[in-house]
Amino acid sequence: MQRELVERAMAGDHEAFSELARLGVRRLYAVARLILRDADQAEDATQEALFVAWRDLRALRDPDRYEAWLHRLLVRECYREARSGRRRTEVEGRVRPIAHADAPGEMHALRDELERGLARLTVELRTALVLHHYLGYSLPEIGDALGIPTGTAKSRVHRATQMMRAALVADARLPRPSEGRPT
Amino acid sequence: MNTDLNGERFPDIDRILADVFTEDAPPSEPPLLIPALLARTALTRQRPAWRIPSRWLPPNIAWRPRPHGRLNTMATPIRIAAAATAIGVLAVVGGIVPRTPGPGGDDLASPSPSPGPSAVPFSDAGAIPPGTYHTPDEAGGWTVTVPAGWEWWYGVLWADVDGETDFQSMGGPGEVAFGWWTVANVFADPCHWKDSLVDPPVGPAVQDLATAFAAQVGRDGSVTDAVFAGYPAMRVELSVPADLDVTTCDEGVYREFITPGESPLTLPGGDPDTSKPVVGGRIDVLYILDIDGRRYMMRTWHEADSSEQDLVEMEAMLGSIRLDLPVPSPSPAHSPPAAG
Repeated sequence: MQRELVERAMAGDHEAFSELARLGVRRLYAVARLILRDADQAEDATQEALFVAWRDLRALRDPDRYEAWLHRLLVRECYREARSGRRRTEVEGRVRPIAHADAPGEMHALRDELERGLARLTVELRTALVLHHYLGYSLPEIGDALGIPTGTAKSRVHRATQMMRAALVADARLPRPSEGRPT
Repeated sequence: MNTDLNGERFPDIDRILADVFTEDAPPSEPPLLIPALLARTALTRQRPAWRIPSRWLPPNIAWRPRPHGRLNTMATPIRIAAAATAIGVLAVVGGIVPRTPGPGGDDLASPSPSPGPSAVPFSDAGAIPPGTYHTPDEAGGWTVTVPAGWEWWYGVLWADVDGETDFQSMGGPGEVAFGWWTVANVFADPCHWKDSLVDPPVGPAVQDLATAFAAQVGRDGSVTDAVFAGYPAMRVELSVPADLDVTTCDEGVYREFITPGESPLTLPGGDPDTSKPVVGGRIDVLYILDIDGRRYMMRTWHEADSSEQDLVEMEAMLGSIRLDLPVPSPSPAHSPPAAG
């Protein structure tokens, strides 16, 4: 069905493109939000990527690659937004419990460290993590989406993962409140 | 959090990240995103496959955020149209002054820092009335004075040779056109281009690019020094073989270069499904310039049967182009190339 919509949109059928956009926008916006960690910037990046997709759709050689191409456009717009320095809200820093911690205090601390760790990553490293862990992209697929060699994609994922692990390990080494952490 | 044999705590980071991203992903998109998008796309024509220019941003100007960002419910039709135009509007250029005698003389001009007060932005693709136009790119732009009988199409000015829309596909009798491109690499053989990208890729200097184009198979290239829009440049003249049968080229396409970040999924150099075949005998004239370390290329082209009047008008327009840039600081890189 998607291929048919893409082919119709490539032929200039705006209704078909509208349907394509509606089908994919939630996922695109989620990816942008995770990369940019800013709702307004994510909305801008998503709209811009879909706009460029419509404008340049005729350049797509293989309709089956539409989604991969769109993700590439989205990443490009996310980078553009990140470079713009335009930030209308503070970095999202929700502190919510996650399922892996063993105790409520640990949950909040872990989440807090995760947020800090993600915020410290460059947008390029954060993008690699989002594509890998949220979209489930393989390293070659990440390379394709980012326009970089697979080896570079692997390096980015590895480096970002190491930085996140280091952030959590550092947190784990801190004494728990019950262990005498100053309050 | 897991614990190893020594009681050391360590995180299962892959699982944690996957779960965190899943939890953090918003369940739905903002309600106005799709309506605002479709309002823009409904006003925007799709570009032909061969024309996917990279964004043209003048050098030496720091990125400035867009004044409005995305469109929202407050967007008026004017804002919508302006935003759509700003996305598409990019190129045409300036003041080509060959160092060999040519229109405008032999001296480096002072780049004009801003458009005149009468310059108006290009409004949409299609025929445009004569006047002085300015690209409303958010980071700067360029200005050009256009006579009657020309069309504008996403960064390219096209001679209207038959009263019809000539811009929708490239390559046709009498065609004359020009626009800015940014080039990442060059095909050594534009006809049999598969596996012919120059390797290692063309270097960053003006000379690197000029040399690579001049060396393309079958193009009879020549390179001379020039001044363009007040900046030192290299002028490269290239031909398309007169007896070219484009159907014998790889995928039926004559492909000369790729742009930065160009996806391997796309074929901006030409698509046999959406563009007319390249016509043998076409002449390309490139002006390649370096402004504070960034390289730009003005590409002009015309056919063997293009009218003299259209060519004269194009030369006049090129001579009228002004870049909306601060005057570059003097440095060896911007010294005029040695004559001769």
